[in-house]
Amino acid sequence: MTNETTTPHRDRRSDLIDPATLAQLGGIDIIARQVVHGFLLGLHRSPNRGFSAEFAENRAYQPGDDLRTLDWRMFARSDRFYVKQYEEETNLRAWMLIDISASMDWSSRSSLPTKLWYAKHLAAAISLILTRQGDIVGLMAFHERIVRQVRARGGKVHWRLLLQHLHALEGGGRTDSESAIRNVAMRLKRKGLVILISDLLVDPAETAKALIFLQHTGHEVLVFHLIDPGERDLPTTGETRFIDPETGDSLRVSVADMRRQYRAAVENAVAEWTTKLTSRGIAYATIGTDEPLARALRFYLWKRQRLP
Amino acid sequence: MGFLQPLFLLAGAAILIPVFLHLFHRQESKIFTFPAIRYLLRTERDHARQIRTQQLLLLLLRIAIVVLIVALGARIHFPGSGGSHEPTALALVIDNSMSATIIEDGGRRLDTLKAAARRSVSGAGHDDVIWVVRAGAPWEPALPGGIEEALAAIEATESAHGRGALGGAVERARALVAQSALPEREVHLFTDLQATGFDDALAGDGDIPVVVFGLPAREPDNRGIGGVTIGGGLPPLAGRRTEAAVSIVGGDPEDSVGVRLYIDGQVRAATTAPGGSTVLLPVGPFPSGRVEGYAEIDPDPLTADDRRYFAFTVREPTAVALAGAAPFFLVEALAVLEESDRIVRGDLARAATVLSIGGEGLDARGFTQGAVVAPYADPAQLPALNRRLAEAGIPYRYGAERGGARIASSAVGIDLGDIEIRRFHPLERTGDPEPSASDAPVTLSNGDPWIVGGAAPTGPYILIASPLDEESTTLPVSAAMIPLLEWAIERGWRGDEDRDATAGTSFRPPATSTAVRDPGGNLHPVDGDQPFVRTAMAGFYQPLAGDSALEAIPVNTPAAESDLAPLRASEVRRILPGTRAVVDDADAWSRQIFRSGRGPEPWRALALVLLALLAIEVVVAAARGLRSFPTPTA
Repeated sequence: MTNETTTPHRDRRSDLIDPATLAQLGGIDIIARQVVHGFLLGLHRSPNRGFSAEFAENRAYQPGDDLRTLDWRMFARSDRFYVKQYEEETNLRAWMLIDISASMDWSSRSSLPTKLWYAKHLAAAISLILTRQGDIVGLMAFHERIVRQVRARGGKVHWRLLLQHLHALEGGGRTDSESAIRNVAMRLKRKGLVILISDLLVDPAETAKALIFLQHTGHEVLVFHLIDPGERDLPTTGETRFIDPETGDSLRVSVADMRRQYRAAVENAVAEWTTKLTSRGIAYATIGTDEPLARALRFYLWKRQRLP
Repeated sequence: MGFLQPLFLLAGAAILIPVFLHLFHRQESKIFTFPAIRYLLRTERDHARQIRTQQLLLLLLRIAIVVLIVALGARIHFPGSGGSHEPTALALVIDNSMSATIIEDGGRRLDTLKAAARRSVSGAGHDDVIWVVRAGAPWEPALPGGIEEALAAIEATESAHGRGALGGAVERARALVAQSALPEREVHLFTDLQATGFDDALAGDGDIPVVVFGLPAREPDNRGIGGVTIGGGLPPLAGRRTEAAVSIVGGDPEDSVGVRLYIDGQVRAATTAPGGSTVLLPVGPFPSGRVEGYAEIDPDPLTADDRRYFAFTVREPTAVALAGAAPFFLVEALAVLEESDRIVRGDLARAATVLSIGGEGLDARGFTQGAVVAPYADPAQLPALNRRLAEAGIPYRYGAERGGARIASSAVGIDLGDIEIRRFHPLERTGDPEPSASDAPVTLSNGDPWIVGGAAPTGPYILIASPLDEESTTLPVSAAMIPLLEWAIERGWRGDEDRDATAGTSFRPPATSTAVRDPGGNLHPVDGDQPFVRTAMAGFYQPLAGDSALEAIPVNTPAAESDLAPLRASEVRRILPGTRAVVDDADAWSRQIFRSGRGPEPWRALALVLLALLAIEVVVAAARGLRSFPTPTA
């Protein structure tokens, strides 16, 4: 079997492991696989299953099932009988749009992964799911401009290529999501699913307009708003000079005086994003970088289920 | 406002800590990379005023907390009563005069005043020095003491039958506390506000405050015996009846009161008389010697003045010798006295009293003989008279003739108000100090004595300043001539032997006295040369020579004490300069005394306020988010 350094414990689903622990498991490919595997396993156990009828799945063996459909690999891993169910290829074209600005390469605590780490692993997991469903997936990374682009294709080989690109991504530069998204809209000729993973520390109005523009061009849009816990609640005390890693702007405040109002400001900003995007049919979710990847994946699947 | 631990105020410098943090702590900022700075900018833009208000509120709260802690540590106190105060020299003046013995509302006035005095002591501290001064005569020295001694002195204060000299008592009290080195001084006066008690008005501006506890002004109807006169002022003769005139003061003229006369403990006469009248009661006859008794009326709330004591000497007719050329009316007066058996005429050798005109016969009188001296009308005889006085050892000389005066005062018991003095020779004392009031029983309107008396080594004497002719004075042709002559003859023979006194004043016991027994039966050793002053109670005082009683001296209440008319508070302030307040209830009293001192330490209230401020500070600080910051997890 696998050793413990590369394989999560059988009793623990990797998609439910907190990111800090997950980051210790290994490379992006291993983590993505384990997360997706655990996630799909969880779907079978979930009483809420059924929403994913459009993609290939494993379900528990029942008397009368064709023994040829037994998934021996799942049996080997879980000591349980599952049968494979296959769906026709959906031909879904998905694009992972990842914000790699300097603000993404930050975490409030050394024990937490950066938002960029979280974004890369979330993208890898989703890409794996897409690939397994037979969909094709591409990648674009941007800050002020699109700095990396991988064409949308399917298959495991392509997925490994995506992983190499994801692995190579490094944070830096200022965020100009509005122009990047408009650029994406111009480049993508075929309709598909655009998954934006960003901390959204951008101009909300302009970025929302760009996303709406993207949707108007016929794409389905899914936005993952990554938030570090330290961004929800000021991560320090006392008199502090805060410096923006992207712009170098600074602001000196008394944290005690600002904490409550700051927390409200963040909540207001999230509410503002929610209102602006969901009212236009754009799926939007805030994901804390201290949360397991499962929640983000469930949100993806929820969105995927509702695609035409 | 003051502090019991003022050094702790130095901790007040801690106020600078929150101020310093508020003003300068921002410069000690740390640097933190933070991508979500846009939210901070928005927060600061939207809540700048609120944040500044919170900061200011917290600053004020923290300053207030420091101030309260410092105030508690320094043991702050405020002016007022009921708490501790600066060490105070305190004199309590208690009016224990006769009027304080009156019964009102079931209790004595004095007991009410003593209760008020105890309230003052209960407000005193252990650093205070307290004197208890009794205003009722006689004067008694007050000793400084603490709370226990003061309470004991108050408890031991009993009513005196003497007059309340409040002005003098307050002056004495001020003098006592003035000698103290303590930082505060107060005099507390407890009185029934009887007006006659304030007759001796104070001098000075009253630097030391006086707080007066005055009983509510009431003037109960009081009657008493103003005086008892036996035989019209002359000693009764042995074997003859006489009259006792009993004067009733106060009371309702329409309402009669029972009057009884006691001689040697037995009722000898009784009648009824209306208030304000004088009733004559027949008494006697008596054998020669001393007679003691008292007159009494039905009791009223003030019983002390319902009885009046008297004593007199019943005598045989006095033998009188006339020396010198007597004026006509003097000779006639002597004849009247002789014909009425009040005197007998005799020669110089056997006479008890020598009636000397121009000093003649003084050189021939014996040591036991008295002398009554009057000058000749001829001024040329004056040097001879003065020479004879000097030879007789009488310490007076007749001065140059003066004229035009009236009699201003008389202590001889005879009405001399209508007597006109056309000529007189001022009686000038030689060597010794000025004659006392008892040495000059009759004085003129210009202050000169008209009659003086005393005891010379050669015997007792009476000197009359005017010739006893009708041109020098109207006395010889007046009704007062005969009684005054008899008085002079008796006084000139016996000297000032008929002693009586008013409670609170002194009397001079016989020179051979070794002790005096007071009405309560207590023995007081005396020096025969000194007056006896412990006359607080009315009654008979018996001078003793060893175990033998010499005589009984009647001591009576002062007539002024029977007048219970009270003063108003404004009048008290006028009479007693420096009076801070005149109050009549306990609450007002507590507010007025120890005003310069400190009230109770308000530590409970301050502690509660401090706790409340701390709670508010916690709430406000928590609202800022300081205490809700999550602890980072590894």
